Amino acid sequence: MLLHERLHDVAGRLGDKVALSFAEGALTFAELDRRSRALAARLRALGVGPGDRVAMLGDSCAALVVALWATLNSGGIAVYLNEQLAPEALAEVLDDCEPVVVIASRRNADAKLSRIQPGRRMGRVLVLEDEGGLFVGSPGNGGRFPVTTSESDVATIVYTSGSMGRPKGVCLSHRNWNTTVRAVSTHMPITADDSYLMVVPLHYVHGLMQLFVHTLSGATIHFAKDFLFPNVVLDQLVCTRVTGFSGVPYHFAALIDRSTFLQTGLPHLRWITVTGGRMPPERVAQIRKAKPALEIHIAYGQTECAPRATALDPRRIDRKPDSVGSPIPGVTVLILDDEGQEVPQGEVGEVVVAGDNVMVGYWRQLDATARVIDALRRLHTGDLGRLDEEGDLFLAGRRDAMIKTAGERVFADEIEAVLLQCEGVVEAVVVGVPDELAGQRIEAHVRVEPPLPAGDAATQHLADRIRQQCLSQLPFARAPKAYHIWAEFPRKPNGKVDRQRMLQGPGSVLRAAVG
Amino acid sequence: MTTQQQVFEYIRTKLNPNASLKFDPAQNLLGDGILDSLAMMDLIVWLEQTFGITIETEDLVPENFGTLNAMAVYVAKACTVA
Repeated sequence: MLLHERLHDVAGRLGDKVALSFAEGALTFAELDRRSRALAARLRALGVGPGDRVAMLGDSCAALVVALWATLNSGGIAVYLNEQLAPEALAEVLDDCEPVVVIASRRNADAKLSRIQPGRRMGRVLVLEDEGGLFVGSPGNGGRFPVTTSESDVATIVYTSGSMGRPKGVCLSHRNWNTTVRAVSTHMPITADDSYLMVVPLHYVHGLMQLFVHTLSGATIHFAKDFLFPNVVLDQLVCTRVTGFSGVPYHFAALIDRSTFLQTGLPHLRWITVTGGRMPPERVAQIRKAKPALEIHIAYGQTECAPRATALDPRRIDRKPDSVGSPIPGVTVLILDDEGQEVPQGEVGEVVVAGDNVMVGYWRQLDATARVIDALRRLHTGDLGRLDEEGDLFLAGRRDAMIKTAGERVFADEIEAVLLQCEGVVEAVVVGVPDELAGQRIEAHVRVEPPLPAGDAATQHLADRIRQQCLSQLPFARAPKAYHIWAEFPRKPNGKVDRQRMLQGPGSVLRAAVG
Repeated sequence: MTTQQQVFEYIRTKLNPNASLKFDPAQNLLGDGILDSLAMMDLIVWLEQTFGITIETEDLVPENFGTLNAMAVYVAKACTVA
């Protein structure tokens, strides 16, 4: 069954129940379904047909959730764009996915889209604030169109950080999402009695997953405006009386350190899910001690597997706070060696995921797809890990130079490409260093020519300039937080950069660290 | 340099170099995507270190950190207490 058909079914059963709740108001399942089909008619009139992309750009709001369902109803593919991207980076994503229609908030249309040069592939722009009538029309023919979409067709493209600079669009089909929705809603379980507080933006796959899981289970989603003030989010957890909440380790670190989360009674909250990076066992222990009845689910996956692969049974968390758990229903996890053979149980190898949750592929990137999906349609995650005797997975680092910071995955080479555009920079190395709040903190090491004259002022000036350029091209989360300027990198005998010595300290070469 | 200018300089140079950001002590910094959650947390830690204050969790609300003026008032009060 297609995702929007399932929504229509839920709306038939739970029409008057609130599906989405925002500060500005709420939408029932019946209204969500009706508006989606009305907008679908409009999108069809604008030329959106099966397989065409519709992009959304703005804060999470009712209209942009309706737009997702409308796109699916019209047979199209929905793409949520990251508001934090600079105009040029946004233009690259738009060039890549070539949307027929972009639905944007006024602020984004003015600050971002209007700064994109003509000739880029933006399609028709609908500004939310100008389109009061967008959702009020009649669904016409019931919003039902000659549907040529099947479950194996792509429903959403989620842009994720890829190595080598070019944006990578992860294509997830209706079947991919159905697999995840079924697995997550069964093992949690999530039912129409549940409600959930969403703090994650919808361009993150985790936000999108929670949206599908909860809406298709008939549960209510409350949207937090943002995560700027942990206490404000805590107030919302109290006031909305939600049964579930999820985030990356950074969200929980901020709630624990910067709000009264541990001290505040949350009798309605049944579970939390932590995903997108390792939560230190001490944090888990703090929450366990303060809220012994709260189920803590530690989950693991990648955008490329829609995005859930494993989850730790909350009953095992005291025994295995470091594990990310066992495969969710319908999914298999294997640990393979470099030759593609399964390693003996307990040994470390690459984590490989198989199941109907494995993505269709990267949008228009066959080579990149072939590098991660093998002939048996198994996803090679690039993560290293081992399985224990109970089948629980323990992660053990990465095969490549991927950095995980505040739940974002960042490939060193995409940041290095930005650094190399800076005047004077001839070589760049980006590393992740341990950080209590963000998990890992991004730091940049650059070699400059001509070498700087001795003196802190010149080095500081150069570091400031490089920082400005990085911040103007990268979202804050992805920009390096410290800049190390080198006259010469420490090297191994074969000439390669010696990362170990680089991280250890100045050694014998000139180096200036600028925070 | 006033506290407002100091905070503005930090935001402009370390958090968001967007050229369209002008010094306006009364401007709401929260609504227009000027600071995301990580940048806000960075700013909070910087305020604590720079002014030698401890920001109590119950004080961490939009009323105290929504504008440069609000932050200056809060910092002045926290410095007096410290």
